Amino acid sequence: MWYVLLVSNMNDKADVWQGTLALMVLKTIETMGPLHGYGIARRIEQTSGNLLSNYGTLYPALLKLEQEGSIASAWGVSENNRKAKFYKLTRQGRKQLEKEARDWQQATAILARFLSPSGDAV
Amino acid sequence: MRRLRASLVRLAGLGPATRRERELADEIESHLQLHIDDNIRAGMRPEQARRDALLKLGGVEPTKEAYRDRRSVPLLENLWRDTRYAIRQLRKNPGFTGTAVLVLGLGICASAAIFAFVDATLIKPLPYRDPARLVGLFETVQFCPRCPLSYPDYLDWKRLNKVFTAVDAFEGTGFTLRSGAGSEMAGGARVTAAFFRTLGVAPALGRDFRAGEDTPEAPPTVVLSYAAWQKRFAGNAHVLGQTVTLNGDVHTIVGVLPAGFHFAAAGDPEFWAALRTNANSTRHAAAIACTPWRAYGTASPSTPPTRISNSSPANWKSSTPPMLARADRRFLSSNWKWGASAPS
Repeated sequence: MWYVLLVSNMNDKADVWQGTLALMVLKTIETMGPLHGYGIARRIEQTSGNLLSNYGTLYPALLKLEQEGSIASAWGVSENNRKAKFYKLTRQGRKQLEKEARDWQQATAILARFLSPSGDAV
Repeated sequence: MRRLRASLVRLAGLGPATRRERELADEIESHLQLHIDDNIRAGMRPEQARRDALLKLGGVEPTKEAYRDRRSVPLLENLWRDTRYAIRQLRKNPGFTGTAVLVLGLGICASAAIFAFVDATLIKPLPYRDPARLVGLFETVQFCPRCPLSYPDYLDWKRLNKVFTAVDAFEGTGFTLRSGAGSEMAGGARVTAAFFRTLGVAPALGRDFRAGEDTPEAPPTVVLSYAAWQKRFAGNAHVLGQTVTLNGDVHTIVGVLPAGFHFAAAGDPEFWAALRTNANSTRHAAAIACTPWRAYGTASPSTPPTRISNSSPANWKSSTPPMLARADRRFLSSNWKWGASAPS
């Protein structure tokens, strides 16, 4: 029973994490242009602090976005002449990014107002 | 929409995946190389750089495992692998496979046969016009709660009946059929003239019995079952008017029953002959005690079917005494303390 609760709780958290990670990936590719997985991981680490503790968790997220048609991949050559798989945003991915960024901003704005110490929302 | 697309891609990812596996290995290797390059540029020694890159990735195999889980549907992939394993095992042990297939086959056949029986008897409606309104009528006596009735009793019941719209009777029997080669036994039944009309069954070909054709004066007539028509007359459309010799009497064929008609209570006979008897016939007077008559009644349309099953025993109780009183007076020795029942 407790085990089940624990697992479902973990799954909920994982879902939220996957959702935010996907949004970060989309935003990163939009800002930086076509980029390989390592580049995306470094960029997210730089901007988000220690959120991406393992670079490896990025790859399932990239695969999910590719399966959903938000990004597309192709093999290419990196700036220091290494073979690498580059990810770029598709038109659908751009739309998804716009929508999710807007949703996220709305949600954070509401929560920020709600949690503000002055409490003018309450 | 995005989810649907992702699900389809994942389903398509099932099956052999050597190319995809190689691509995954290449991508992870390329990731590590890029990271190692960066680390070396930052001043690490090569082996330290590789170790750091691996640590930061979270290990090659865990990464691949998480990736594979996302690539297709792990449950289905495992199922597919198990299935292939099972097939290999079965191929290796033909004796075991044969036995298992045989036992399963027998089990399936038995289940199908039992279901077919249950379906035919309990689920499918009977092939009559208004099966819910049909009831069987029986004589009852202490040692025989559902007894067939004698023909004179049938006539009395029919005459005194105020409950049912129609009361008819059949007698399941066999006929000696004279055929070209000699004689053979054929399943048959004798019925009263309005029997098929009471059931609400119209012949597929020709007609059923006319009123009066079940009297001894009428010329012998017979109606064929669909199976008999197909088997003995090859479905010939000109069969009407031809004759068959049953129990030595030449019967004229007047009709053919529809293919869907069944009447299990008489053993699904091939030949349905008109009854051709009357209350004074010696044959039936002699056969009072054991003639397997069973009467079929249809309740009057004004009585809803639910009421028939609930109220008919009571109706019968009130209406049987005069009926049986008459029957008893004539056949006192054999009809002692008989009642009547119409089980629903």
